Amino acid sequence: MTQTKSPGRPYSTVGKFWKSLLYALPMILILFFFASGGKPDLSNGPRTIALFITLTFFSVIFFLMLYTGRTDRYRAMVFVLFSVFMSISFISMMFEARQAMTFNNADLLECKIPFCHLVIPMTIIPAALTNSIIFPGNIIGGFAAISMMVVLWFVATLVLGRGFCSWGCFYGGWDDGFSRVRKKPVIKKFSPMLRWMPFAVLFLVILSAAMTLVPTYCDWICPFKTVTEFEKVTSFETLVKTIVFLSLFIGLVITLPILTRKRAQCGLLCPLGAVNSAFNKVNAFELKIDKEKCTECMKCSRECPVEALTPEDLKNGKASFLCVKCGKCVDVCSKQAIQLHIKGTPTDKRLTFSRNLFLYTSFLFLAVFSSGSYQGGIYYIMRWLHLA
Amino acid sequence: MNESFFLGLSSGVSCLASCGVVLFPYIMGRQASSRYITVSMGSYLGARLMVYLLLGLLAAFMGKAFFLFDVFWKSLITGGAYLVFSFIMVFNLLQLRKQQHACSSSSSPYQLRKKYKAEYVPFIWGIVSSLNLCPPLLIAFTQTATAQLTPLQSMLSFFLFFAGTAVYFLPLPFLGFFKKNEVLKIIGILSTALVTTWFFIKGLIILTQLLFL
Ligand code: SF4
Ligand code: SF4
Repeated sequence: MTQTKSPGRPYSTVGKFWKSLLYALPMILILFFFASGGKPDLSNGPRTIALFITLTFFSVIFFLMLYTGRTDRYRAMVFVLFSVFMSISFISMMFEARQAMTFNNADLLECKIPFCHLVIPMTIIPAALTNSIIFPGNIIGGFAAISMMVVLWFVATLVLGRGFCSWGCFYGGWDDGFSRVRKKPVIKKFSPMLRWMPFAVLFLVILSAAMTLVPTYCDWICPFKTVTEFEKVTSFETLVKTIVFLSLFIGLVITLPILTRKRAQCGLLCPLGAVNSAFNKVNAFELKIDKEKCTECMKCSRECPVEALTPEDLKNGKASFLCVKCGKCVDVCSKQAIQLHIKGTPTDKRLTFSRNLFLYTSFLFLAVFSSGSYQGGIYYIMRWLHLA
Repeated sequence: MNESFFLGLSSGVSCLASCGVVLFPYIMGRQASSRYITVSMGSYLGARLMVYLLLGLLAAFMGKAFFLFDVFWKSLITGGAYLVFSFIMVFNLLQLRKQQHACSSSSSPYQLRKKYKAEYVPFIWGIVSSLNLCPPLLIAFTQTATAQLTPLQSMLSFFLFFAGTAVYFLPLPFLGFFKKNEVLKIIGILSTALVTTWFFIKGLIILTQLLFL
């Protein structure tokens, strides 16, 4: 393989094939164990092919992250496909189980709705008040059980902070993907106050859920119902709900990300994103700016998908607590002034170690969370194409 | 009723950011004892409660008259009121964003101080700022008047609206003073904007349903 060392990327694996492979090997083995459960079932041909494609893809991507020193480009490939495959496999399963993407009152009463992490902030106060979870899903056992989803989210967020939004969330890939469609933004300026919108949404959905004991965000707002499941239109009210979530999907997940190159849904609406931001405060990883190297060209600020790098943040020497740890700013900074850093350790030292530690943790979460969706998605695509 | 409390809670942050932000410097600026602060806050909130209860009573009587209309007119008035007040609320929020406060443009505790004794100022400011008829209050009024409530229920509904807004005011004097909490103000403005959107949609639903009457 030819040497393609990226100029100036300060990691010891960059451009070194064998070293990168050696560093990637433990990850490849861990991924094989997680994705196959240690004992791959080779009896089902299409499932085996799906497993093989998934593992190969993850391994190649992780290797490339080490070899090229780029983070965001490769992360985004896995992350965006995660969302797409998750929707494909979820919708296909819904069609197998219910012959439709919609659910009705009977499904609600039988608690058959799979739980998703976006509901978590709404469940806390009602759970404290009534000792019950205001979501019509399984608490333990079955597909996407509430307890399992809460634990996974909590552990990932504790370890990655709002990095969960770039490495763990199966919705984030949608607006991340659309934000990459254009090379240049059409809309360049935002009111800085809009950065606080998810906190206002969080505040309102917590209040309204506590008062009505209904997960109001899921019921009325969540745009991702478009790519998972939604209530059957049986009344004027359900029609309005459908119009609301569809408009939000078209507006915030597709149109605005394309026009602004920002993750508009995550940056302007998602209440869980606001909770995750708070976890950035107690989390070990942060994006640090070396003020001596920084020329204040603001390229990182323009590229940041969630407006976490204002001129003030640059002056403070670190990304704000809204940072989703996507690594885009690190990739685009030609002066290598921004680096992933472990809090409490000296800046500008052991950069490879800090980056590798972060990559091992975050990529592991991403791969473990997404492996089932990848395999499911690939398997269902093969079925559509009559290959399975 | 629940909705009144919710409306109070959700618009309370911007009440605090608009009316409270004017009152607290006044109270705290006098280097007062905690007893003085408690009494001032108490009389300010007491005045607001009094005005709100009176408005509740008025809403009940207006509601009675309102129910003489037929369904078409009732829906038209209710839906129209929600839409109009939502627009006013947006305008109000824009003002609030530009100015330090939009609660009362004509007077402030400092101006009142020129006319009245210092100890009466929080109480009078409570009345003046409540009578400012800000859009959340107008929406609460529409909600209550169109819900066919008895006078007692209507007053209770306004009490809940008051309680929703008051929770933000109560702990502040004891938490230390926030003079320029820009973030709190922004979140308050944004959450009120979102509630406005909700009432706007509600107004639209009511008006759209008219087409099927
Ligand atoms: S902001 Fe919300 S939707 Fe976006 S990635 Fe984070 S949790 Fe997912
Ligand atoms: S500061 Fe950097 S790592 Fe954080 S969200 Fe912005 S671009 Fe991504």
